[in-house]
Amino acid sequence: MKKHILFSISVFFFGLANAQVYSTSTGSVSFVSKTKFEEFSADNKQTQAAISTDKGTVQFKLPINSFQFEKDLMQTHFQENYMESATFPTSIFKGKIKNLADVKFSTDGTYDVQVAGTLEMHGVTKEIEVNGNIVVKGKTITLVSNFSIECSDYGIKIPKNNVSQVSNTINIKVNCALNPKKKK
Amino acid sequence: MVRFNLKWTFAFALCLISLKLSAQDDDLLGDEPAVSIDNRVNFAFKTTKVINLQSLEMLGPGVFDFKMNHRFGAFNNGPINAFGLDFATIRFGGEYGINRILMAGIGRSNVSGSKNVDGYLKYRVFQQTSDNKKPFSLLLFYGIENKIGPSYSDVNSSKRLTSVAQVIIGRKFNETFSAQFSPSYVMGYNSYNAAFNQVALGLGMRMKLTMRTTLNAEWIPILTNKGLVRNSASIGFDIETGGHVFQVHFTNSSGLNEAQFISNTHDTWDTYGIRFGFNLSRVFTIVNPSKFK
Repeated sequence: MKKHILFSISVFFFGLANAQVYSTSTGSVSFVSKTKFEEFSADNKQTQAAISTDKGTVQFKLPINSFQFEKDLMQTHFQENYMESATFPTSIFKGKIKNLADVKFSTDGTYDVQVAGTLEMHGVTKEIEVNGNIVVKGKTITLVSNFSIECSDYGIKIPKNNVSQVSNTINIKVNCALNPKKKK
Repeated sequence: MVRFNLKWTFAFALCLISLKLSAQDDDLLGDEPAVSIDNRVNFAFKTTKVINLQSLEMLGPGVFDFKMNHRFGAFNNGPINAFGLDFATIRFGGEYGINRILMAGIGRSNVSGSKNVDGYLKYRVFQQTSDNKKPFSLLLFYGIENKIGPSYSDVNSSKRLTSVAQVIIGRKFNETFSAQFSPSYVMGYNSYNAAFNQVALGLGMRMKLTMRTTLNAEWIPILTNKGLVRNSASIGFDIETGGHVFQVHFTNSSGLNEAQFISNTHDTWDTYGIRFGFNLSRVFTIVNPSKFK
C-alpha cells in the first residue's frame, strides 16, 4: 500500500516539476509599416508571453489598445478603422517549436528556432510559421523574432486613398524576456 | 481483494490529477493577469462636435484641431439669393488638447452683422468603460462669447458677454450607435443688449453607416425663457478622410458658438429656414503623445 502511494505521489510531483513555464506580461511587440511615401511604427510593451520548456509550446497575447504611436490620430485610426479593437481587443499566437531538441534551456546561448502555430488577429485565425531566436541567459529566456504578415490575410482593409500611406505588408518585431513562472 | 483495488484506485487517481495539471499548460497564459488593459470606450463620435454641440470626444493630448465652420443662408431666401448660398456665416477656430482630460478652444465668427470671439474649456470628469463599471461618460463645458465690431462699440463691455455652462452625459451603446444629453445654461445679453438666461436640453446622436461615415442628428429644445428663440435642430453626415473630418449638414441655426446656436436661432424647419453647412476639422500633432505618460 505505502509503496503504491509513494510511487503515485512521486509521479504527482514529477508531473508538476516537469511543467516548467517561463512567462512575462511586459514583453515588447512592435511593427513597422513602410511605403514609398510614409513609414510609421508602433510599440506594445504589454505583451503577455509564455513558453513551456518541456513541451516547446509558446503563446503570445497582445492587447491591441496598448500599441503606442507617435501621433494620436494614427492610434485612433489603428484602433477604430483598421483593427476594430472594441470588437477584437486582443491578438493571440499559439505555437510549437519544431526543433525543440536543438534548444538547451539549461545552457546559456542563442538558439535558432522555427515555430509553427496559429495567429488570431482582427477576428481571423491563420496558420503561420516564423523563424526566431531563443536567447538563454541564466534564468531568463528571451524570445526574439522578426517576421511579416499581410493585412489582407486578416481582413484588414486599407482604403484606396490610404494605400500610399499604409503598407499591406507589416513587419513585426518580437522581443520578450521571460522569467520562471512563480508557483502559487 | 477490495483493499487491493482501493490502493490502485488511489494511485491511479493521483496520476490522473498530475496528468490533468500538466495538461493545463496547453493554455500557458490562462491564469496570467493582463497588465492594466485600457478598457475606456473611445470613438463615440468621429470628432469633438456632433454638429453644433460639443460631443463626448476629446482631442488627444498635444493635438491641435483646426476648425473651419461654415453655414450658408436659409433656403427660404428664395431663388434671387440662390436659396441662401449668397450668404455665409463663418467661424475660424482651433482646439487644443492640454492633457487627457482637458481641452481648450478659441474662435472668431460672424453672425448677422455682429462679430463674435469665443473661447471655451471642456473637461472630462470620467469616461465610459467596456466593463460597464462606468456605463456612461461625463464631461463639463464652459464657453464665453464676446461680441465685437462697430455695432457694439457703444455697449458696456460687460454687456457684450454671454456664457454657457453645459454638462455632457452620453454613452456609446455599441459600435454603431452613440447618444448624448447636453443640459445647458446660457446667461448673458442678447442682440438687443437685454439680460437673459435660458435652460436648454441638448440631444445628440450618431449612427455609423460605414467605417468612415456616420449619420448625426441633434436637437436643442429650450426649456425656460424661450421668448422668440427657436429650438435648434440639425441633421448631417461625418465623413472621415485621413487627417480630416468633414461634417456636412442641414440646420436651422446660423450661429457657430454655443451662445449663438442655442439662444440666437430664429429660423424654423417648417418654414424652410434651413441652411446647408459644413464643418472642417484638421488635426495636427504638436506634442508627441509619449510626453504625456
